[in-house]
Amino acid sequence: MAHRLALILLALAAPAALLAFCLGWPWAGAVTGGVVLPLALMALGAARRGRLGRLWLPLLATAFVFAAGWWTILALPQGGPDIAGLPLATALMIFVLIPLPLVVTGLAYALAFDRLGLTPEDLERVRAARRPGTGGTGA
Amino acid sequence: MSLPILDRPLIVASALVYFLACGALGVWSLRRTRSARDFWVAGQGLGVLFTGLATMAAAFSGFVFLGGPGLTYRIGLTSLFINLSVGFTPALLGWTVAKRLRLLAEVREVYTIPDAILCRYGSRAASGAAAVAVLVGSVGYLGAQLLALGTLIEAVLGLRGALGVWGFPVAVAIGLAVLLFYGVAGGMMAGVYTDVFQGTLMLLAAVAVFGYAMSSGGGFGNVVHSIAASPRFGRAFLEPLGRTPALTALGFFFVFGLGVLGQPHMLHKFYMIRDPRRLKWLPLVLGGSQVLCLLIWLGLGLAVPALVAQGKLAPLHRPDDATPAFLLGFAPEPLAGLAVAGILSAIMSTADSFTNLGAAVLVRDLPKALGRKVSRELLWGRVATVGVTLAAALLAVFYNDLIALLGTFAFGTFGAALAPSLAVGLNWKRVTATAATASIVTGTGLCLGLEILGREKILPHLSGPLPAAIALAASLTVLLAVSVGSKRQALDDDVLAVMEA
Repeated sequence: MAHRLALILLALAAPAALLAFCLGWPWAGAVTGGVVLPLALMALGAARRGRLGRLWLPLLATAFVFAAGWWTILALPQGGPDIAGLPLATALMIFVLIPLPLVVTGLAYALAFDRLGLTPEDLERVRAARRPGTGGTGA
Repeated sequence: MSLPILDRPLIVASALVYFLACGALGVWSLRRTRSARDFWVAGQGLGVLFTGLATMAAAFSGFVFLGGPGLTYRIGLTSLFINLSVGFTPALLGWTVAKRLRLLAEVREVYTIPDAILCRYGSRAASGAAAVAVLVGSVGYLGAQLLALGTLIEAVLGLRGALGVWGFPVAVAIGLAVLLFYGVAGGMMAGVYTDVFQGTLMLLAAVAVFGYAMSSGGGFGNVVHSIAASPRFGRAFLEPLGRTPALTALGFFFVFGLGVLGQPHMLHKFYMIRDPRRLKWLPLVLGGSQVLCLLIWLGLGLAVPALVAQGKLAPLHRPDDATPAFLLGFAPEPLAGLAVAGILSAIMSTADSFTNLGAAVLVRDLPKALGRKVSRELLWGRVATVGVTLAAALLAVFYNDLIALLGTFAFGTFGAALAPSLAVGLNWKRVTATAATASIVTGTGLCLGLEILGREKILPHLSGPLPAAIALAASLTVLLAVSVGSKRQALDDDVLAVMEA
């Protein structure tokens, strides 16, 4: 389900991003290239047997943070009021949009790895599929 | 800005110590190299910390240490859109490509990215197209490293004052000689262990320079206040879209956020990890080290304009002089020495990866795609290294623009050509060899073609990241459309097992 949804999102967002960049539509570019395509690619890679398990929560949270970030950047004239000497939108970029997704997605990846990333059984199956003489390094 | 060499002996000494340390590591690595697997993928013996640091060192280059502050001096904090995606790209890499590439190396002899394309699609056309894309991008990336090296050498040796307009070409020529020596005699042997050493130096230099840059400008508050109050820069400098159209900013984010999935010099490092299950911690290690390294971009990007605004530094003739101007004019000698070693590390670790990749394309990947094998591979590998580096030097001298923009073109070429067929193709069985070939050709051709049309002012609005952004979106669209439209392709059992793991 999640895998299929990710593919549908990719199929819709990729040509839309192409149009946005060719025709100069920043809002459409932000939605497609700034939020949907990164989310869809993460979901496509993270899905196991078509499902995301509990990973949907950090992925959606990251997409939401980026959607809010792009809205702030594009909607606020001159970047908004000053926060610690920087325009609000700039402060948001430096202090929120870089560190927060790094921690959320990095921890989500690590914590889900043993169940949804690569189990010892997965690794054994891959190594068992290795054909003699093909040069792989599997034990 | 340029100072005579003898006035700053510690800087030159730092550079010499750096090269000696790299040389010693190279000799040590060479003694441990007994097979092709040792040479190309470090014997698949790296832990996660080494893999993360080596990936960061290969990814971050003169682009970050010199190009970033230079681009910021020209376009203000819009330049940060290049770094904005670093919050999610390490996990994106982990989920979409790192595991699958490492597992491919469990079942097949896979050393390069065109190798992985050949395994996944079983198509010499797709693999050959990927090899051409890697060659084009490698020349561009090496060109950016030579631009950075030339800028650093010109400043440290004071060549502009001594030679005038010839200062820069002479500095590039010196950089070329250094790079060739390193690539042909040392770099190929040194490989990943020097990347780890260089990554550590880069981190130390970035954090130290950030701290000193902020204090030179009177602290963060004073730095941003000076810029905002200055007629030369003004508050627009600090605004996300103050000096650049929204689409350009978005283009930077898009190209660097998704294009990262096609960077061969980074992806190649994933083959090297000893135990694929240790990939668990890779995003946090890689992302943490990248964020620390990017402090130099932010620190010098803000401090140099602040110092100009405060009247402590003359306005820069060339934006790319921002980093050398600060190091030679303000940093104490030990810090400047550490920073020069860090910058050399950033340039050399990336250049080393690309001389390797470019040579591998010419003597391994392209002949393989054509069904041939090159005899005397080592000799021709060295000849190929010289050829690729000379082409990059010509590009560096005639490009006539910022380091960061040449870097963006090269990064964008890799991204547009390779990201869709790797990131989607390794996670969706329906992607066919025809679709992958069409996508790679579209990405490479459009990126190169649109860049030329933009630079020649035939389509003048196509500048900065826009050619690469259009090419990447088009390449992804082509991959999806052709996959759906072409006949299903059977996968080998071992490749199927990798894709289902």
